[in-house]
Amino acid sequence: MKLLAVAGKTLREQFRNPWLPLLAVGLGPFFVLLMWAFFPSGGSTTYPVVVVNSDAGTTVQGIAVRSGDHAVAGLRTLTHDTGVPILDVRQVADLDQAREEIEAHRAVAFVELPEAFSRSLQAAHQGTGAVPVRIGGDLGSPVYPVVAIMVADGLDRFARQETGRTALLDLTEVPLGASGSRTEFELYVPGVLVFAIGLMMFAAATALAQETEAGTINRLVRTPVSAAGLLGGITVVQVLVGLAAGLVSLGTAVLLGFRSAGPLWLALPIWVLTSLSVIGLGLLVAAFTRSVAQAFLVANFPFGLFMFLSGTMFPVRGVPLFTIAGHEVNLLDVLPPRHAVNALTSVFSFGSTSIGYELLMLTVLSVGYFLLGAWAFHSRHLRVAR
Amino acid sequence: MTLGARGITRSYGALVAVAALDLEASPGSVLAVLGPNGAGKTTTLDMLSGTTRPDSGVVTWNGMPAEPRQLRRLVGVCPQTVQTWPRLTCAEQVAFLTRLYGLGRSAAADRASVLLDRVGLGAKRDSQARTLSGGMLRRLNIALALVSDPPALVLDEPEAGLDPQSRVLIRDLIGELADDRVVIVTSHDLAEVERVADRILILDHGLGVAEGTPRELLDRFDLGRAVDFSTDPADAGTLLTAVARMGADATASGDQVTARLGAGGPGLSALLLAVERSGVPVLAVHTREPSLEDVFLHLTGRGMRE
Repeated sequence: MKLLAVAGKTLREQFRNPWLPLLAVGLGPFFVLLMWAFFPSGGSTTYPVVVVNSDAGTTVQGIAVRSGDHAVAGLRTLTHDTGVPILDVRQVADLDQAREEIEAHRAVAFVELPEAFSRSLQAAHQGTGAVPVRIGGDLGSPVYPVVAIMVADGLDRFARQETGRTALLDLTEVPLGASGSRTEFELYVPGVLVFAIGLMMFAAATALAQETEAGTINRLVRTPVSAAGLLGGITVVQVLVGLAAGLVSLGTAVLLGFRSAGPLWLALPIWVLTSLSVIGLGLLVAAFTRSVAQAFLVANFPFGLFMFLSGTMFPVRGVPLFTIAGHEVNLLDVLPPRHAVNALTSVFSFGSTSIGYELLMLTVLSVGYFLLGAWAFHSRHLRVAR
Repeated sequence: MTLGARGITRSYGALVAVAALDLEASPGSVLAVLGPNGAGKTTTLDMLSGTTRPDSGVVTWNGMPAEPRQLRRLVGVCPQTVQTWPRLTCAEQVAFLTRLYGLGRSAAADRASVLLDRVGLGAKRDSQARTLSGGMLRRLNIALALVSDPPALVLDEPEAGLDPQSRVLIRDLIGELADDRVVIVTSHDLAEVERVADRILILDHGLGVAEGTPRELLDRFDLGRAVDFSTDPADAGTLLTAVARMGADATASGDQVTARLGAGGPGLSALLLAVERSGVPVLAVHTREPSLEDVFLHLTGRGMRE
């Protein structure tokens, strides 16, 4: 009953000062909307490429042939499953201009078709030689490899079609689950959902810091309410806000065309556990701060760690440590959102319900983080004379 | 019902905050704990209320040693700073704390009504704390200390920063509360303490240096009538020297020099003659009975404390 009294009071306070909970609940859908806007039609990215087409052409049986132009046209026909072009191909005069375009971030890569491109292709058609093509760009760019593969694949297809040669490898791509038909928007949704719950850290930290700042924590420790009752009451409300954040974000995503390959309800335990770990960090922050402003400021640090190193925002390889029962254990596995994103991706993209390992890790870590935060807060603010 | 202490001592590192303090308070009278900053008042209240355990000595309830856990149940605390939930209404705050003591929802609501009426906040029961004036917040602070209906109450500077109307209201409230429970207050306002307290304990450097009713303290230290000379602040030092040369117990503060008439000291006419001979222009002279402040300063000195 005391836990309920604390929960009721916390809920009331949240309703009357709704900025933080609203921020936590509202930012998730906002970012879902943003992602959707970035990828029109739930679609996919079009990568800008510049082509230096120096092909002088050739003559075949008295007919002028300019295979370079056909190759460029072929690159332009490459599309995603959604129909969106993969490459935005522009021709430039020379390599210097291509370099300028790349340095100005107006292109990701360049393709150079040499003067002898058509002649080489004809020679290859008669079974001799290869067709020289140069491709380049900023090899450190994370999207360069994607573009390079697409360009290489496009040109290879064009060359095979022109020469009638067959490929040495008969590659068949097998999409796992529904990953073959996932739009980029859908691929980002699991990360955004975990991000939305991560924002709870601020609400949890400030909810407790305001008790410290107002001195009301001193009143509470004099009452018969236990630390478990007090922290439990506050946690229940924060978990509810976390669930609301997840549900509203997922609802928004579904309305915008997000499709889950697996059962949506599996997201619930993942959210609850992630919320618990986030609240645990909120408790830890509140333990070492004495005001709402301090807590808000300090919470940025663990929030940043949680979001940027866990793979929530973008893939992070981390530091592999060892393998247990077939599962590679990474240094960054100590971050619960890493497991939450993995589990959500498994469910949403692959339709997999085999997320036992991720759920186990998420449970252990979330309970651990929560207990650590509760212990720290108890030691710093709830300890009374025995 | 008595709340007491026998030889309680509490140190923080090398600093002895309270040393071997004895005291006893019972219903029907208000005990005021006075002392300069750092004298040990708050530490004393913390030990009496079960917030802090004494390093040695015991806090007693009805003459028997009481543990901090027991004291937290028996002693309500009204802290110096207002400790309320800004976004809860007065009724919600009281009811919430009451529920933590195990009462049901409706019983807690009833208790909130009773307590808010008692501290004069019945009309503000549905107002959020952040909308209340300073005086109202002080009264709410007291109401929150009373939710468990404790048989003892300690109030740390309950009238600090209040307007005269609120002071009178809180003073009357403290008097009423003392009818049926142990009440201990601390204050810096000696005039206010004279009005509200029946007994006074003066602390200095963690030691109890005097205890008694205001009258008893005045009689015990027989400071003699005081003569206050008002002069230009620039001349106060010269005037003080002239008065002290006559063998008077004298002090200076700003534009005022105070000398005591008493056994061993000069008479009033000798004192006035000495002042006249000093050539210092005196703007006003008046004599008065010694006050509690005189006793307090006599015992604790005039040096500033941290």
